[in-house]
Amino acid sequence: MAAALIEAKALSFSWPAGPAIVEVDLAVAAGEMVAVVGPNGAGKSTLLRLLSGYLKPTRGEVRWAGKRLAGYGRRRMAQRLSFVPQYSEVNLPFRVEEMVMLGRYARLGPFRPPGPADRAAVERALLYAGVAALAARPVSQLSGGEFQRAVLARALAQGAEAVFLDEPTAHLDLSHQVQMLAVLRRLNREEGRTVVAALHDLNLAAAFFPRILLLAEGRVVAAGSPDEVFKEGRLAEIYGCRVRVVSAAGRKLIFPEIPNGKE
Amino acid sequence: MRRKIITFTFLIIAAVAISAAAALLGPGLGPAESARALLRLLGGGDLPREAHAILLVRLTRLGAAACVGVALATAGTSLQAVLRNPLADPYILGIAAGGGFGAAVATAAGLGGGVAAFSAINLCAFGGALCAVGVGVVVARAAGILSVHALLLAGVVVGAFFTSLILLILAIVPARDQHAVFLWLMGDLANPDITPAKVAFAAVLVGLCSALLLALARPLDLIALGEETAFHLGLRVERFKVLILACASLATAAVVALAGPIGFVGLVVPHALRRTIGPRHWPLMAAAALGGAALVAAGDTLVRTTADYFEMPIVPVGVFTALIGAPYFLAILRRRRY
Repeated sequence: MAAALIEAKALSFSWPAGPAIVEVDLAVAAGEMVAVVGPNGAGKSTLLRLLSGYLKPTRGEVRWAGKRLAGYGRRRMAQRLSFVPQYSEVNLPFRVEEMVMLGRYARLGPFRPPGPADRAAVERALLYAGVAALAARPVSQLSGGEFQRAVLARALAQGAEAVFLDEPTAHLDLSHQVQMLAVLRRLNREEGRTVVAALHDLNLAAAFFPRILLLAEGRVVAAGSPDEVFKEGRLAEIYGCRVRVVSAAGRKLIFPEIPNGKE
Repeated sequence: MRRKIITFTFLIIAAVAISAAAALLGPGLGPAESARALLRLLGGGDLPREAHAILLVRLTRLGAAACVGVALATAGTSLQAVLRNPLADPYILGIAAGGGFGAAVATAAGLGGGVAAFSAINLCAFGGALCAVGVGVVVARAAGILSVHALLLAGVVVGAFFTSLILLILAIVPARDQHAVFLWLMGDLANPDITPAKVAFAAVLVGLCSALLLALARPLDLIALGEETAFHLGLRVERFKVLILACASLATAAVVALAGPIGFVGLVVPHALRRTIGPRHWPLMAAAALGGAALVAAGDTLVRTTADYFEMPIVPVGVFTALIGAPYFLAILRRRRY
């Protein structure tokens, strides 16, 4: 494998309440599409935040393109990585295009006015994320799905080679979930951008992501293709319920067995 | 876009008109004579001593009003973004109470003297104001991270604490000092203690701080989206928060030390202008500076001239701005669109 874009060595992080990430080693190559899955509290969000530099590891280190994270300035880092956080609430009525233009901060800095390249990047991002028609709407008036796509457009306008997303499909209905992930897959395939997403939905992870990272209690318990990672026994142990993995409609389907109450 | 242009045009016309009214109206020198005298003064000519003195008093007061308005409106706008709280105003971190405590101590202790052009009251108020913010920052900062939630709570508590100290001082000082402290706490530009030198000093400090807040408009947009988002968009969030707090606090402390805590300007002006200008901070901050200056100058000119006309005691401008500011704010809230 070529030199990894993102590399973590013996990465550990503890909250005051206890350890959240324990001795994680991982490497993500440029152009990969990786889903981070695992039960609630497994450390998915924490791992993304550590890899992005938002949290500082208690032990271990993160390197981007071979260079330690601490060696990057904030704006240099934002040119490499854009991040779609899980809960982002905007209580001021910025228009969608204004908010997406703020994605250009890493390139523009505090003072330089936006030029044609920046406007072109914003326009492309709006189209790509499917919110071009909403450009003039205040973000405070968008539905949950529209808002999530506007935030994605902001991340795309940033023009970074890697995109992290924390639960990008939370609060989205079925069709919007699929749309969101289809946009990410296009981004990965057509533009070669590296995509790392924390996901709850194992079916979506299996359908869209060639590589899965399964976390439990802060450790990587399995990594590889969906076929390799999603095994009934392993999932049952980690999630603490009986899980079925079946093939249907050309896809891998994972679902919990539901007690029928007649036992 | 059109709404923005209309708003700015209105603000500029209002600022010019109010400046003219502030310079031309008042006892001792009629409007026409004032205008002639002002033109001569601007042309470098000499004036009769009396006319010169009257104009100087009016212009000093206008300058003080403009400083107060610019400082409070720009500080309020930036704090609403950084604290991500629509209730934030320049006094929310306890600056007014801290400044009031400083002024009350100086008054009660009968501190004379001072440094250069500044009286003991000015200096103690400035120190008390910054001290209040400092306590809040120390309390809210842990492991290199300044929590804005903790800062807000700390600010409210620090404010309450200093307010209690002010009441304690009021309870034990003689009636004459009580009255002086009360007047100061109302926020007043009629105070003869406001000299041209002090206004010039405040103007420099407020000018620098507010210019920096205006220059940082784009990062303010970022942080209004949330701290984590701003971080990932490329902002050094912790450093930025401290910078904004420092600018907003210095500007506010300067005008509190100059004229006492004048209420509601820092809350009402940003909210009122956000409705027509929109949330982006570059146009908003510029409009807030203009609007704040115009509002305080208008209020002061109004209370001053009506008091002269009706021969009644002057209403402190701080009381006036709060009296019109509070109902206006409620009206905005009632019709809010976001």
